[in-house]
This record gives sequence, structure tokens and C-alpha cells, in this order.
Amino acid sequence: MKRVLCLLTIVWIAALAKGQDFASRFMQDCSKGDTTVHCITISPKMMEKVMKAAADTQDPQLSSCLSKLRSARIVEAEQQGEKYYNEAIELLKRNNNRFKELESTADHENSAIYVRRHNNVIVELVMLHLTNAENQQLQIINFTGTMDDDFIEKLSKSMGGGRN
Amino acid sequence: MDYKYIEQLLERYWQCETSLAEEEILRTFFEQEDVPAQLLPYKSLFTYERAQKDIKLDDDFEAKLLAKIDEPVVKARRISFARRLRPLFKAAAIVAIVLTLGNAAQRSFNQTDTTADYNYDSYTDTYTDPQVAYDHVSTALRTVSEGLSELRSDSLKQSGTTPEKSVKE
Repeated sequence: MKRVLCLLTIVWIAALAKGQDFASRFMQDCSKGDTTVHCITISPKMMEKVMKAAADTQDPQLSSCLSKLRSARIVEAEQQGEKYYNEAIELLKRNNNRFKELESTADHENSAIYVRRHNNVIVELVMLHLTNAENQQLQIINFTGTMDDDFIEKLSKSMGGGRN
Repeated sequence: MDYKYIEQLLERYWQCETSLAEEEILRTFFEQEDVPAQLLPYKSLFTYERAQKDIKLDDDFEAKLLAKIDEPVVKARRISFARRLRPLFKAAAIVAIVLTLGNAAQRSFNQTDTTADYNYDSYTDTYTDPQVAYDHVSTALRTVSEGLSELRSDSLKQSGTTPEKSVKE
């Protein structure tokens, strides 16, 4: 009986660990008990409602981008942003068989974009960004969905990115 | 040898006419070793009583009997409710293992939906209002868009190519 319970626990933990996105791994590993770190979650169900709300705004580019997303998580660290940034980079590099830095993006000291690909489809996108001048605030944007390079191309040119 | 007297006594014995003394004579006669063949069938009838008298209990009879009496009695055990349900738990655990392994195998074989390995069931929405969620997602998308653009232009500056060329590459 004990052996059966142990086996079940191991299987359950393995299944749970496998189904984690980067934001939840970061919250679990790096920000234990820190109340200045918050995570906003938008689940697939809510994302469907967000799609309906986007349809009302008559913004086809935004709707097109949203249709590729399945979930979104936004982690915000109000303090010690640089420390958390380094920890997040470390976590991404530790899982380098899962996350790769997005091609055609330069090394930057206060932002980075990593993606997880599956059969040439980007199933997860992680962007780290130190927001203020003193690098004290960190924002991690974590999308899951079925994105591709065309999506990345569109995103880099539209929605404010094209301004640059 | 003449056994006429014995035969007469026997005849009277069958008629229930013998005295105690005559019956004793018969017993004594049949106890001897050499009994004629024609009287041999009656021997056990008269020797039986004495033979039975000689049978005695063994010395350890009492001990054996007492041991039988004192044998531990199998008492009914009280089984707790959890213990009674144990076979059910085992069956449930086996079913759970089979289902879990089956589900895991099915997922790994049929991974057409590439995002399926995320455990979306564990997601708890921060906002219940879709409009608020929309504001956050659209802001996040804009931030990613700006970040992408910035990182790409820096990359192009470093490599000295035009954006169009880089896109084709």
C-alpha cells in the first residue's frame, strides 16, 4: 500500500512538474514568500473571454495576436528587480533544453526573450524586462499558445513595436 | 478330554439357568490357553469382561485431557473501519495508477496539440472581469512588441544588416 502511494505521488509530482510554465517555476523557485512579487494569471478560459472583448475593440492586429495565445502570466517584482532578473536568466539557462533565446535578438542587459519550441511552433514565450532606470522593477511576461515566427514578425512590427 | 460338563454348563448358561459359581467355572475354563476348537467361538464372551477390567488409563491421560481443555480459543478480532476498507483502497490505487499511466501514454502518443502538456487546470484567474484581463494582456503584448523591436534593432546594429534581410534569413 505504501509503495503504491509512493509511486502515485511520484507520478503526480512528475506530471505536475511537466505541466508547469516558466512563470510558475519562477514563482516556485525564486520568489518564495516575497510579497513584493506578484503573478497575474489569465487562464485559457479567460483568454477566450478576452478574445471576445478584443473583437469589440475593432483592432484586427490585436485580435490576430490574441488568437495565437492560450494563456498569459505576468510576474511583477516591485523590488530587487536586478536580482530576480539574474535568477530568472539563471533558471532559463538551467532549462536550456526547454528554453532557447529567441534568434535575431541581441544580448541586452535589461531585457531578454526566450521561447520554447515544439515542432517549429513556439508553445511558450518568456520576456524578461527591467522596467525602471535603477533596474529595481522586473516584469516577466509569459505567454503560452501556438505561435510561430510569423507571429513574432507581426508582433515586432505592430502594436507599438513598429514605432521604433 | 471330555468337555461334557462344560457343554452342559454352556447349555444352561444359554437358558439363563446357571448360578454365579457355575458362571465363574465357565470363565475360568475359557481363560486357559488350550480351549478345544468347538468351544473356541465362546472364549471371547467369557474373557471379555476380565480383559476390559485390565484396560487402564495411561499415566499421561489426565495431562492430555487438560491440555485439550486449555487449548486457546480462537476469538473474533475487532477490525477497524479503515482496515475493512483496505482492499477497496488497494483497488482504487491500482485503478488510479492504470488511469494515470494510460493518460500519460495517451498524451505522449497523441501530442498534436503542442500546448497540451501545460497543466491549465492549475491556473487560477487573477481577474474575473474579462475587460480588466484584456487590458493586462494587450499591455503585455505591447510590451513584448516593443521589447522585440528593440532587441531586434540592437541585433541588427550589431550585425550591420537591414531589418528586411534579417527577416529573410
